[in-house]
Amino acid sequence: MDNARWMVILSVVVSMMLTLTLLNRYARSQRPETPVVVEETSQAAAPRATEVRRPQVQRSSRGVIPTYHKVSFPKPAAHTFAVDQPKDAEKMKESLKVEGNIIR
Amino acid sequence: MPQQISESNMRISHRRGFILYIVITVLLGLAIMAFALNTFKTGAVTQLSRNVDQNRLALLAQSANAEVIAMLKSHVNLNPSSQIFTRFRSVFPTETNPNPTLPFTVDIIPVFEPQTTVQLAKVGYNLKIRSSAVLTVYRRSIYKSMSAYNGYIDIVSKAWREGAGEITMEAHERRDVRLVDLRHTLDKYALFVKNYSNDYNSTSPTPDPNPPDEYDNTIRRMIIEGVNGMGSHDVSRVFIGTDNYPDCADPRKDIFFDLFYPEHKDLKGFTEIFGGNQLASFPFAPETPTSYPVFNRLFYRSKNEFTNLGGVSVNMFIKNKQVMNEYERVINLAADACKVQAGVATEPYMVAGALKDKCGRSIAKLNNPNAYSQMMCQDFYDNADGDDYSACEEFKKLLVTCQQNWIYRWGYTDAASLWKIDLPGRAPRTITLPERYAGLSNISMGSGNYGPYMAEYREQKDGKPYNPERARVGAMQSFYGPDNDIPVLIEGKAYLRFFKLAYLDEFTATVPFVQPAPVNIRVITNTFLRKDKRDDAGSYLLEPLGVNLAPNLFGDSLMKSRAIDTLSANVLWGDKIKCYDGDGQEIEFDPLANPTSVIEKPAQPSGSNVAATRFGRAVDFKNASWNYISAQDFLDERAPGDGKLLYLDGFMYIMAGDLDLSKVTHFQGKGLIYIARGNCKLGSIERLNAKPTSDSLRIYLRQGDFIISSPDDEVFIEASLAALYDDPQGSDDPLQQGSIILNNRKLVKIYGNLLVDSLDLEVSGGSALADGGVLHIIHDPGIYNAAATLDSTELDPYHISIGPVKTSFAYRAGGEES
Repeated sequence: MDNARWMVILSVVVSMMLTLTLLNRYARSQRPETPVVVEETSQAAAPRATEVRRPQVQRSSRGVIPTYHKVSFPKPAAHTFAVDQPKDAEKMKESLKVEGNIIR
Repeated sequence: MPQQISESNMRISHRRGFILYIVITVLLGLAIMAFALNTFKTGAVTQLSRNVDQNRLALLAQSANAEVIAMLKSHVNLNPSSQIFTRFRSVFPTETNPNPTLPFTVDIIPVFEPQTTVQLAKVGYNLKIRSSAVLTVYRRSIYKSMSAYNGYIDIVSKAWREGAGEITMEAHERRDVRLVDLRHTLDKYALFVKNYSNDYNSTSPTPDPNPPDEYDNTIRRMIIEGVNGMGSHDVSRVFIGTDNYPDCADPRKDIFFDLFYPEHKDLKGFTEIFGGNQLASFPFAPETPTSYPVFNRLFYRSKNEFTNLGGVSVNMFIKNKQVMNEYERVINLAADACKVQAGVATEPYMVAGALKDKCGRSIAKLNNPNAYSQMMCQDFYDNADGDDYSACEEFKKLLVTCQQNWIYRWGYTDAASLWKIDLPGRAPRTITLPERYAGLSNISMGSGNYGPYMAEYREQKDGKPYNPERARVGAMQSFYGPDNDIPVLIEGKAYLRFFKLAYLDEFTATVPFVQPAPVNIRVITNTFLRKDKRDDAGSYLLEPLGVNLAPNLFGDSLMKSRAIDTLSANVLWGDKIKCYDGDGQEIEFDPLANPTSVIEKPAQPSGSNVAATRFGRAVDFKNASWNYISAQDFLDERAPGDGKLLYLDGFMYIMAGDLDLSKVTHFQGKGLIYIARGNCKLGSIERLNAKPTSDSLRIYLRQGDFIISSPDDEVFIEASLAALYDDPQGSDDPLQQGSIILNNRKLVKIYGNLLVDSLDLEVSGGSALADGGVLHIIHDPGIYNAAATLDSTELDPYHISIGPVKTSFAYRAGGEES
């Protein structure tokens, strides 16, 4: 009876070690929580900001007027039909004295 | 004995219980001490660990914010496919939401894991970071013409260590944001000039020595090339103002564009006006000498019998020199015939009162009332009153003959065919001096060296010159592009001008005098006479006819040679022009529907009545993304290094110029440079990025001039240039008018548009174009409508500027990430 009691205790200890080992292993390989990313592309994989639009100096193209084969214009924005009234000019003159005078 | 043993055992048993009690107590005390020590140590370590974590998390949260800012800046204007780009633009009004209620917020980035920061964090702990950005828009431009907003963006980054969610660190920062739609109502103008200019009819002081065609020699020119709407309702406009028109007596203070056959003959409007585009010449009477010069520059010619003209009578010709001369010739012959028949010597040729006396003496010598010659002399002697022969019966017969035989001929031509427009002084061409063609440019009829047309308008009336501006003839500028194939809508009091040559043709006929005799009435030149002289002159030249002589579109019912200057300049295009009206409605403007009506004011909405003088660009200074006290501050910051590349960032305000951009060769970005006072020097400047690109440059001078300052003779500028004085407006002081000083350049090519108070192309002193120079304005479709699609590239009219400094910054520690 005494021997059997020790065997039971030993098997319980071994089972616990095995379970803990497995849990530890799977817990480490678990992926982190997937974030909600705003941009479609991964920011890490995306080109750096400076690489998005790198200036291309084309000094040889000086004075060249491009010929476009297809030009289309959307309907002009509503504000482009607005015309400043004389009162607007007066208002701007006044604002020029305040906002227009920058103080260093 | 056993009792003694029993007592001894009991004492030992009591002693053991006490020792056990002591041992247990000591062990319990030791346990408590160990537990307390362990707890204390654990708390200190935990506290230290938390401090380290917080520092680390704060740093990473700040790094995340920086990464978000960097990402926003890189996407907000340059990456149209990104949601950041789109969400920022959702601020601007749309058709469905034309007036967003302020303030409102836009989630620019709802939740985001900044990958670069995460990668840095993973070196040690397994940290988690989340960022978000929210734009709050709180202010709109106070001007309807300017679509711009003020806002701020709040960026929040939260960092925590995985597995220890109770420790979080949140960094918050705020930055100012300026959002501007760069489009403006003046963008639709390829050229906008408020003031009168006398250079719209160009001449050249240094003509080509070997011209292929002497009439095709106007090399100092301005060429406007509008946008090609490709069938849409998009068309460039040109406004030609008349502010500061020279003080003169003429009630018409308009601009006249001289038609120029070599350039305009193939335009539809030319054919509409003249019914064709072939050149013609006046026909001659058979007896006309073959050596008589032929003027073959008529676009239209016609004739009408005098009796069909209506409105004029032959009695208006009793003082006409040709008719009088012929009658005097006949009477002198009759008087001489009397003397011959009487056998006495004839007398010299006489006229008027002297001729009357001569007739009296002839009658006395012959004294034969039945002689035809004496009858004619008697009629003259009895009825002539000085040089007034109107009561003479024989003179009346002559007038009737004239009435029956006169053919009125007229034709239309251009200024270049009449005057040497390529030479200073605009002297008459030699071909226009013979009487048939001399109605406008004859130099031998008391009109100085200019001819009657020039002389009449240079004349003084009421202490002022009548209108010398009308005498500035030439060839109009090219408004429809170098190939005359791109329409523009011309606004302002701009009229097309061409000229009519007219005369009564000579004839030979037998007059039924008492003794019928042949007479030859020479060509009667129908000279130019100002209309306001009608009452004083009483001339047939100014009497309205009963017929309209014009072939089409315009009215011409005066016999005089004259300028036809009542047709709108738009008539020359000759076809309907699709466009938007001032309210933004799609319309078709038909210049032929009302050909004499000009579009006096710049386009504006119904109910608005703003004079061109008051046009300009009102800006709300609170919408400025950058403010500079001086132009040097601007250059130091926006054109660093060698100063050849200009970086634009929205609406940039410079308090005081002069701004010298002559060293800048390229620009990048999109923006409006607004200079409150001062000039702007320019050399060649163009976009850095290959076209098509949304990059664009607008420069607006509120009190200054553009000065072309380049070592090159040919200058190329890719920009919208506006120099419209705001304070004062409409000044007649050249120093208070915005202009472009061309500085003697051969070619100034502007790929954008030009908006100025005054424009001088031919000013002497080297401030205008060089001899043979050209100002070529090509309306950039990216300026005309900054939202255009060029080939397959959709341009972006908006620019968002994110402030470089944090206006607010804070940390929040603790909490638990849910």
